Amino acid sequence: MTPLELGLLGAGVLLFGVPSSTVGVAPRWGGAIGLALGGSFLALGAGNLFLLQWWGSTAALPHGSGVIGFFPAGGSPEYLHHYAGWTHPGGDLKFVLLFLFSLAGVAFLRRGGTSAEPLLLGLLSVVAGLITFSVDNLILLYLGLELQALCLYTLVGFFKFQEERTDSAVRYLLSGSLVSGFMLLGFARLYGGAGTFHLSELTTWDSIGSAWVVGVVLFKVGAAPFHFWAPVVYTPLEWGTLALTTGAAKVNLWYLLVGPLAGSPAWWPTWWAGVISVGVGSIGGFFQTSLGGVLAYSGVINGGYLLLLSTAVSPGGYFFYGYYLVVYLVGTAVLVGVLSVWGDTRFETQFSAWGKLGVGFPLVVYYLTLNLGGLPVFPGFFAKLALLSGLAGFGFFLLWGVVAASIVPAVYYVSVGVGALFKPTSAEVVPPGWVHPVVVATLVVGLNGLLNFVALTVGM
Amino acid sequence: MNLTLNKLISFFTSGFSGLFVFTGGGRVNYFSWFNQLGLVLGGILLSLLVGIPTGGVSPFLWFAPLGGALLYGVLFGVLGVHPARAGSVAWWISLAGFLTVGAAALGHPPGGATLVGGLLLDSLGLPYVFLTVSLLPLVVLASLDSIRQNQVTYYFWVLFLGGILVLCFCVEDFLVFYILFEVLGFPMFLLIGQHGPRGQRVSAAYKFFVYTFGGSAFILPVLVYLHWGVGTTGVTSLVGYSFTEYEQALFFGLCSLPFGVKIPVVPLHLWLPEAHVEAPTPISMLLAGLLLKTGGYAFLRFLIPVFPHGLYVWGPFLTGMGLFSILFGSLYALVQVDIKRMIAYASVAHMSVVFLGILTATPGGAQGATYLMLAHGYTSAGLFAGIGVLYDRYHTRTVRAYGGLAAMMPLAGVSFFILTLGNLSFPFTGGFTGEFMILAELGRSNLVVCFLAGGTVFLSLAYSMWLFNRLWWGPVSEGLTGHTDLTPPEVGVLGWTTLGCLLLGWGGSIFVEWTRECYVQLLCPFLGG
Repeated sequence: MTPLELGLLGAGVLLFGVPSSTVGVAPRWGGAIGLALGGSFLALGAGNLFLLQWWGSTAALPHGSGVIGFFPAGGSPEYLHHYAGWTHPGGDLKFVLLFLFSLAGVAFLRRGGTSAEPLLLGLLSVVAGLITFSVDNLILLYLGLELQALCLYTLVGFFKFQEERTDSAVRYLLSGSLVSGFMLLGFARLYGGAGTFHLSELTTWDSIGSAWVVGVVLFKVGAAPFHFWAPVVYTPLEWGTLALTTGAAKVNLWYLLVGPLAGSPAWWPTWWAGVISVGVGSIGGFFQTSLGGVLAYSGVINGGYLLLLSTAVSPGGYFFYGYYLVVYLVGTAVLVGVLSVWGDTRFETQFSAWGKLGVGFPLVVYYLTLNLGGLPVFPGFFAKLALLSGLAGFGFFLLWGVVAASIVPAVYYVSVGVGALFKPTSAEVVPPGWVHPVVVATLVVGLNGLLNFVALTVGM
Repeated sequence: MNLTLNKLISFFTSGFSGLFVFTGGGRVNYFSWFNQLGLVLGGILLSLLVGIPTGGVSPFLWFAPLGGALLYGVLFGVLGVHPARAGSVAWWISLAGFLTVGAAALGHPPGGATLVGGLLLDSLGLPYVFLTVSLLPLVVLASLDSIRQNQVTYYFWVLFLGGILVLCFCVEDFLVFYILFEVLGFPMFLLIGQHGPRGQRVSAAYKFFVYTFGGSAFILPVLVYLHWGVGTTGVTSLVGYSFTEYEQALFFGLCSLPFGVKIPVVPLHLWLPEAHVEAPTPISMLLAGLLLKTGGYAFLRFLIPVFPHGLYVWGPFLTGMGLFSILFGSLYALVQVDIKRMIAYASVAHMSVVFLGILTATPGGAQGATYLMLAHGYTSAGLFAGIGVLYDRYHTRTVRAYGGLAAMMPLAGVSFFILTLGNLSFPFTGGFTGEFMILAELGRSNLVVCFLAGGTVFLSLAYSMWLFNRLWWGPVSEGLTGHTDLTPPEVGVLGWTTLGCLLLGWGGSIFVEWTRECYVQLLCPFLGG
């Protein structure tokens, strides 16, 4: 880890690990919002600027230079694989910022809770995730992933008196443990083939071992055909854990695909998993009745896009991958944050309750769902533009299929907005104060979308 | 166009607007007559100032309607102006947009395309801009008495739509046009879903959303591919690029779908009758008068000039669709019992005639298409406003519930009669000029197509006169007594749409002269071939 990363992590520990009674509530939530605003705005903004610059110039930019080196992700494989001692420099500021942003969001959503354990477990899972960014050793990588998974199992089943959550946690634990074994098997085959535990020294990749490992990563990110666990686990979760499991818990896994595992020969299972995920995600989400289910299938289809991008070779390099990842994860986290206003009604999908909060709130929900659906003029649209640009090398018809498949999720995303905007309800909801994710959502996502469009119009 | 003529046009525009204020603005009674007079004089001065620098209008002016919408949002959302003033403030903002942008659009020199700040200003797009800014105050005016809930957001979205539409008709870049084209759907979705008077509004809004965005999915891959292969999505560069015949056919075919949905052409029309029936009356005016025009405009501005071979390949099939659409729309209009649904199907038929005019790819046919779109903009908006007048009083849109209205509402009857004449393309109305130009061009190419397309004249005569006869003549139906004729805002809306319909009946030659050079340049690949 770099000193900067350590510093940021330390700040996170201080911010969220110290009990409220010691530092007071206000600084903690102020810091959370500051991190959320600053991190996501920088990540999105820098990415947008680069995208527009690329779009305007049409020139094939060199990989990993300037802005892309830091925000939001990217860099050439050479950059990512540059070996420096026992760490990969790929675990730099960009992912750490995204991690902390997600953590901040989770912490913020947990403000109403009295116990500190979920927050600490979340933090521990993030620390474990950070380990997986930096290690070059297969054993350490395995331990990091396991530690992260253990935290998540516990978090999912934290409210042990809720039968639905206990059931989810058991399913999550059993399926997760099974694939951990497969990962261990894959690592063993890699070791057997190359005679080393160091990723940087892997000159020959055992194809079966690579396929095992990549398959496990696909399972953990919830990509098809290994997505079956995601809707079951996500549906009963409360907002904070939902934000963590759909966002922060996946950042390092996505990094694995373009970082340590980028040299793996198992790109074709990834490509096929991407295609299947796009299809399954676009159809499956349509039949969901809860926000957890919608977000689970949203994860499947967006995961499909990312998997395709991870196998694409295009002038934008991994920039498109990182940019899409940031927009998707930030957009999801912000939507979950806004929807968290429901509080006690979290186990039911009563989107119409938003109508009680005044005109502005349902509009923000509508706006955020459109963003997640990748419709103009929101950042999600520019991310889709980046996605298509990255996939252009696969030919016109794949582009067309991807865009056609993206229309279905747009429809079911908007169903959330429709419920909020158009349908009457008898539910009672407590209006939030000014300092709320709604403000964050409007500032971060809104300003970015607007700036993008203005820049595009004036021909930046 | 010389400076004097330019000033005259500006003066005419502002004078027109002044009359507009005095007839329609009478509703806003807490603004004194003195203030209204001041606004008219200020408008005249502003129009003159805008019109004087021939062709040198600041590009920021075309952003003014959108700026006005944002200003409106700031006034009510941030500064906390009382919601009771929502309608009147929206009215003044829309009127200011008409005075300035409308004058600038009319004052633009003919033939001279100006490319400034990402906007392409020429005689193709500016008539649509004028249509937009002139209809927007009427939409606001029609809303003053009929929209009672969530007025602030309602007027904000209406103004926002107007601002986006103006830019839509000005932008040079295909990608930016696509973005604006998409953005148009979001406010419309909300306006139908939130403000529709009936229970099926949510499903109608949903259907609108699915059709609009489902169709547009076909454009985005094309745009990415254009950017990837050509290096630009600007139409001025794309027209000079040599696409292969395969590319042209593929891209034209894909892009035709979303624009065909918007026109709409059968069988892509299913969203339109639902949206019209469930939307509040002013939104139906907006939808029929303005939004449908974006589809036709896109064909003229982007598809035909950039992919001419695509038209060659798809032309016969699309012509068949257009003909079927005309006959289908007209026959369906004949059997409707809901007045709004009947006008909606009539819109399908008329816009299909426009579609055929566009497909001729000749200056005359394309000019006729644009002219018919302008005429249809005022006529359909007026007819929908007339239906709104009846619905506000009697709360039904079933044809058989009405009869003998002319005895009680003579002024409304006269206006509805003239608009009905416009709808059936009677001579001396805008519809006649546009349809005549299109049919003449079709006749030059293919007499059979011309004859079949001409069927719309007879069918529209049948359903239009049948509707007028049932509504306004004969004995007065039970329960229709006790209501007054038009209120001042209704006089404003119906009066100005009627006048627009009539003026267009006399302005054909001016329009043709004004736009000839632009259309010849636009369609030069076909003229050369």
